[in-house]
Amino acid sequence: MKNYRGSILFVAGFAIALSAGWLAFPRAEYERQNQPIQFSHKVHRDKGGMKCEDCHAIRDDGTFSGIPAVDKCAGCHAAPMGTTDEEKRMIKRYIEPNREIPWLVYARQPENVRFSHAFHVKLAKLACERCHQAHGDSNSLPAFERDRVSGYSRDILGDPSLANAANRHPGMQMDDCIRCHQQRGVQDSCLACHK
Amino acid sequence: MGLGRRDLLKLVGGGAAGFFLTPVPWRLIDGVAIRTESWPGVPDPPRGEVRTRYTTCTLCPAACGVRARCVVDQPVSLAGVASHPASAGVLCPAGLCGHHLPLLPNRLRQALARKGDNFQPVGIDAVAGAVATALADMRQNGSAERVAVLDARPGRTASLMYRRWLRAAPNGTYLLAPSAEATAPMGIDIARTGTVLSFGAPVLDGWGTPGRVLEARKTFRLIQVETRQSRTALLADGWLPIRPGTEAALALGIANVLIEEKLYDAAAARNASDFAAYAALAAQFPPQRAAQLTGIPAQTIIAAAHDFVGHGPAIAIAASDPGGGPLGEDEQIAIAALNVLSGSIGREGGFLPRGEASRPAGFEEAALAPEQGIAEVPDASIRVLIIDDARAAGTWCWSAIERKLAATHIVVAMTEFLEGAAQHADFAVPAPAYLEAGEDAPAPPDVPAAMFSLAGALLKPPPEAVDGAAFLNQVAGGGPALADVLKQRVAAIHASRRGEVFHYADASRTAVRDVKSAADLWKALEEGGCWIDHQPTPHEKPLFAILGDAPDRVLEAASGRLPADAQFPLALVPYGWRGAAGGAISPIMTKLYQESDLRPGGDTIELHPDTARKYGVADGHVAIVQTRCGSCQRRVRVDESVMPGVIQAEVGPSASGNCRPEALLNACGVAGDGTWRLARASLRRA
Repeated sequence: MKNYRGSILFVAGFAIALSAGWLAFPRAEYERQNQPIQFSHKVHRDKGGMKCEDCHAIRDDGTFSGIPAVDKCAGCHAAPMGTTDEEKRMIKRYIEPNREIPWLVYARQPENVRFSHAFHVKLAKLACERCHQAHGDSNSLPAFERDRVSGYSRDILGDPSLANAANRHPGMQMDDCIRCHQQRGVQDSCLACHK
Repeated sequence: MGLGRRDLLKLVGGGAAGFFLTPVPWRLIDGVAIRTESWPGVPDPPRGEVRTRYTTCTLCPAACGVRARCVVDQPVSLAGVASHPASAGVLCPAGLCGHHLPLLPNRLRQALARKGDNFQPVGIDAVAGAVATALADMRQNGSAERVAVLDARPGRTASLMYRRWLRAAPNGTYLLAPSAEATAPMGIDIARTGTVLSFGAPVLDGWGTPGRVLEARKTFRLIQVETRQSRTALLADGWLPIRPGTEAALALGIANVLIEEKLYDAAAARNASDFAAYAALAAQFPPQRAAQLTGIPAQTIIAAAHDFVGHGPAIAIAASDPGGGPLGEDEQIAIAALNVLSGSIGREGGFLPRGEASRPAGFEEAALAPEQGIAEVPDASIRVLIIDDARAAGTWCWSAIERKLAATHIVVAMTEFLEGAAQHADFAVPAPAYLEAGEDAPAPPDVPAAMFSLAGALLKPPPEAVDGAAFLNQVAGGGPALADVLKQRVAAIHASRRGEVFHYADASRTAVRDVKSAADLWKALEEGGCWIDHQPTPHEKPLFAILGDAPDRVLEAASGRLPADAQFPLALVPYGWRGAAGGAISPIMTKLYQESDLRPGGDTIELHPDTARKYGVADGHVAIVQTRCGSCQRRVRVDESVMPGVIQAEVGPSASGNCRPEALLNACGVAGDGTWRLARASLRRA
């Protein structure tokens, strides 16, 4: 037993590190923040009959509207349409004082990145879900998970944990863009994406 | 059974081995690298809906269309407007990062009054009060002294307001900036020009409207006459490296060849009442004499003359250097006369007379103070001087202005930064910065038709910022706001039913006669558009004088502006780039100067290796440039492209950030004709 004691301790240390790195670290890596207002994409789509592009539109000139400003919400919610407390809160806090909702943007890229939704959606025919997962089906907004070191969201950095290995989201880092471009035979240059 | 030291080491060793097989180290390295992007000081734009807004660039007279990407209301990037009739979708580097200017930390946010060598805060009311008191005193005493507005960006509606205000002021004098580009009554039809003979104009590096010039460059030939091998000279079809200050001699030498060989447009020449006198003057400059004066071989001068008229329509231009200041008036006459010989005046592809956007009632020429050059004003005659856009005045030699000031005077600088002429002012008044001022932009110089654009404000100015018109209203105790006069002007354009509106958003055009109301026209222009007058301005070719009353002065200028001086044997040639010579620039633009060799920067002089050797300096040395008017200290850069015997000195931002252009410009001194683009100098190692 004494002969194996050293090996056992080494393997134990190895296993502890692996467990901590693959199971505990991915949880500890991110801090969770709730969005300022909860709402259901699904209700807007199913009951409101809306499409993604009604709020996240690609304009005629190719620019993307991104997250809609509060005046877009006010177009329908100047007065409550339903009975939820969240809707009342949104009207009172943001629509009535015409204050922008401080959304935590899951897919926010660094400022040195230029990304054209028009190219990817209209020209390359990529589905929104390819990068944004199935947000359109969600009944509530998931917590925004911010990486404690880099400050970026889990949606950008991707998920390295074993727990999500089967459905691992690829992330939206530069490597992910390059990988997809290579798969599709798209030529790259620095200034194609960076400004 | 306790853990010994070796056991602990084995446990830790296993842990360490396992650690590197987890994502932890790689994610931490990646995360730390990404974190550096958001260190303190890195701008963090607001979040919100991304919107596109349109405006017009007013950083220089080019009046390029601007497409601003805004997050909520904050512009985060600027780009050109595709198919814009003047700028053709192009913005220069300064325009691309112009949205940084309002955010610069040295932004002036409150009025300042000079106290000794420093400034201290003061209310704008106090500044207006000081000016009003001086004006009242002048009126009461019937003083012959003047109140003047020096306009760095003439041709705007605000300029008309200044001129009307000055008409009513005691000896009101409206002064054009020494390097004003946008006031010419004739536009250049550069899109159809065959040959451009440029005397120092930075045609391909910040002249006219960059997008339009670059587009036209596909078809016109360019002959660049310049002492230094500038970017334009490098990209030209031909470069004539000329001795400093001998441009007029070359112009007359070329004229001599054209007249002797009868290559000129005789019909155009018949319109010149003094053509015989001009021909007699040119006869004094045969190619051999011009060669002696200019340093350009006689055969090259003859070939240049043939080249000039061989690919018509041909124009000769003489523009101010953004750093070196204007050419002398007499040199400009000698150069402009070549356009008579080439027949390019009033001809397609040449200089075309253009009208201007209709003015509202009350702004007729008779109701306005006339435009004057600063050299026309007697010395020591200005009691009150108001400088509009003092930042743009950063490349003026202050002594050219200072000599015009009376013994007791007040200088008020309307400015965004305490830069340029503002540093010499008695009062500095904060003005709205680029993208904060709701104003208009007149037609750029290289556009043959009248144009009018609104530069709508995308940002709110600081609370204390006032535009020049509002300040004058405060001095006078009332008057119309600039926005109201702009609306009146748009109404006048609408009433004229001339031209059409180009819409920035979709590149469509609407004839003004199809716009229902003046309010609709205002809305179209404010949302992003420009008015273009496509109807040619009726003109007849009048009889005119080429030399006017200046034949002797032209002869003197052509004989060389820079007489030999044994004590100061070198020629000091300051130059600059329109995008940065004015002073404040975006931090990103500093990469052109600090992190690259693209532009030498304001703390540098350039010398030919022979010149450097002769004066005992080498690359990287610090040298003192001495002239009769002063001295300045600069780092030496040795460059074979510099003409021997010449010191090239860039007026622009410096790598150290503390080397201002004033010392260099003041060292150049002001010549009798009010220019400062050349000086005799000596050099020694510091």
